Amino acid sequence: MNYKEENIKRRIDRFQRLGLLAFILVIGGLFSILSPYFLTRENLINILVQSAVPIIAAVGMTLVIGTAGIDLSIGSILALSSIIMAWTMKYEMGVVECIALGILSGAAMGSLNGFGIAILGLSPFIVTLGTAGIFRAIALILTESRPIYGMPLGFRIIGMDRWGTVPLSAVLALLVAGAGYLTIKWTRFGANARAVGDNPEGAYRMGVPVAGTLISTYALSGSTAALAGIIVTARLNTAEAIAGLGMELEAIAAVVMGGTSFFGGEASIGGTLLGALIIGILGNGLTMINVPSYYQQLVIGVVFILAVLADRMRRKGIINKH
Amino acid sequence: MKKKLNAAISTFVIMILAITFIHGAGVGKAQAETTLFQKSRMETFARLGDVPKPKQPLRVGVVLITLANPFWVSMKEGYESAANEFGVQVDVQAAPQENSLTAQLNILENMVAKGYDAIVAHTITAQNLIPGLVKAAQKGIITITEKRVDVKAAREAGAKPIAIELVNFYAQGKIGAEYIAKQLKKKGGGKVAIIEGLPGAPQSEARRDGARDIFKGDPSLKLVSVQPGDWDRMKAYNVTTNLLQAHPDLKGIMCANDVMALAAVEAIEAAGKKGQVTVVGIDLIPQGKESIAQGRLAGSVAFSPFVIGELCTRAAIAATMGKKIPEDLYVASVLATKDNIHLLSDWK
Repeated sequence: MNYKEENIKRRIDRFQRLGLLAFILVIGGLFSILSPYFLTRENLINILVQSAVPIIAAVGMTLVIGTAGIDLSIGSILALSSIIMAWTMKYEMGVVECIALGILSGAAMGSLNGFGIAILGLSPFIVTLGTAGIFRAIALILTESRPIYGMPLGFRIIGMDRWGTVPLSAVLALLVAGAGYLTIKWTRFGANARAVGDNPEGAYRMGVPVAGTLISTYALSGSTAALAGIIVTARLNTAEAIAGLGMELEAIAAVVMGGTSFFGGEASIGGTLLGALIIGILGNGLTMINVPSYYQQLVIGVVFILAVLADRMRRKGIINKH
Repeated sequence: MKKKLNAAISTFVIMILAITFIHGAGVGKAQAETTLFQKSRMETFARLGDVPKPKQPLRVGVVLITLANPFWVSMKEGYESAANEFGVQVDVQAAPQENSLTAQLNILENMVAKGYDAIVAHTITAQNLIPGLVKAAQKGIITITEKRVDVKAAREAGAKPIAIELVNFYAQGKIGAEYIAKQLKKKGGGKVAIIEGLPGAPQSEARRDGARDIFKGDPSLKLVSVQPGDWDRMKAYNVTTNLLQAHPDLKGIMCANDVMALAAVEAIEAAGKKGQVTVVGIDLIPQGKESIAQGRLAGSVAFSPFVIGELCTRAAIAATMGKKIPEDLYVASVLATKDNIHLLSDWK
């Protein structure tokens, strides 16, 4: 990438995020006018808590899509790692150990995805579609589809939010987003991942460890899914095999809305964060003004496509100008 | 001329009188026969007592499980009908799917933020709505929910839900089994069996226990087998075939739902024993209703989701007026058989 291209890309990114921010302000303003309950402290905290899980999952997904991949298995990883964690907690293991075990199991499942993609050479779509079924099935088999209830208080605190305090889950989500940002922008691994997404052949010739980078990327995606699972389990006080169903689609929507291209080579955590917040705000605000849930899905789908379309047109405009 | 007119007038008057009389008699007859829907409503609401129309405007929020199923749509209509009747505002929201645990909690929390006078919450699992119920308690919003909620855990977390029974599955098993017992008594009793649903599922166990208590308590009946049918048509069919093999003189089968009862009827007919075994199911699905009309399925225990919606609205209104809500509040189930199937015209 030469200097001029780099400059154009930076301008596109800035425009992209400004556009999303403006959109948040517009829908926020609209909901505030339509419902007196939208712009209240408790409701804003609601939005933060409800967006925490999608944000965390979407950070991992941003990395994956940055390598021109996709991870359809995060919902299943969330369910299976939560069950492993909840089970060990039932056997009186310490909370911290169980959380570590949950994240590790998520990383292991992600590595398995990475292995199939980097070593066996299968396409990410196929590998993760397959493992999505496999992990979900193992979760169902292990629990006989019965939920595991009753986590210790020390663990449930993660999911709690009392009025007036900053909820832990939201803090966690912002920390994960921050870590993701630093990883992509400032680490060797982040640069490698983007290089692999941009052009795997070229990256390989430049000495980038392509296989290792891919495996680590999917392992990270698995870890963030497990982390999201911790919040879900703590909030609902339940781990179960059907948790996280359809969550991969929400994460992908947030990432793509945030301006990360499906073709890899770039990854914008800031955009992903805004994308996830837009989905969260829409879901919350539409409930506030009493729109039935089927129409909510319709609205979110339309907004998603319009956002991507607007981004595409803006990009073309900026590139043509130069 | 005048005579002719008089005759015409008197004929006219007589005709009117006759029509009124016939029509009146018809109305009288309809009033005498209460439909099953009206019967269920009356019995259901009696347990709560009279609910006066609220004087000031009331806002009631409702969280359903999903609307992707006619059962819940009918319940929503019950809520809306009661809202009209009592002149209160009722907002109904539902999760997109039957397993959207987090989405349902999000909806409850958003409704709490909107600040209703009372919220009725139909929880998906025993746990998933508890954090929302806690927030409602902190805001002083009255919450009505089902006993299925882990009430102890909810109270410990600081929630103050009014937990009602809503559906009495045990009574449903009893009602069905009582009918079988009554029919068999005419023939001098005999052997009976129960096909339960998925072992461990609370509705299945309660329905089974209700039927078992009736069968065991009747000296003229002999309960020969209780078998799981897993709510599954094929499995229930095979179980029935095996039961008939082991007990050729089986006289009655109580099934924990209509799908299994219909399969049992098929298996009985395939075994060449049509009409020899009295089968009763639960839920009154459309196919079950048809089968009853054809005289194949003996009966089905029905409960109306519409009445559940009405009942919960009434309970919410009563609770805001400070009335104590009885915990054993539930929708009254009724038995549909060939004899009363014509009274199902307004069932919803």
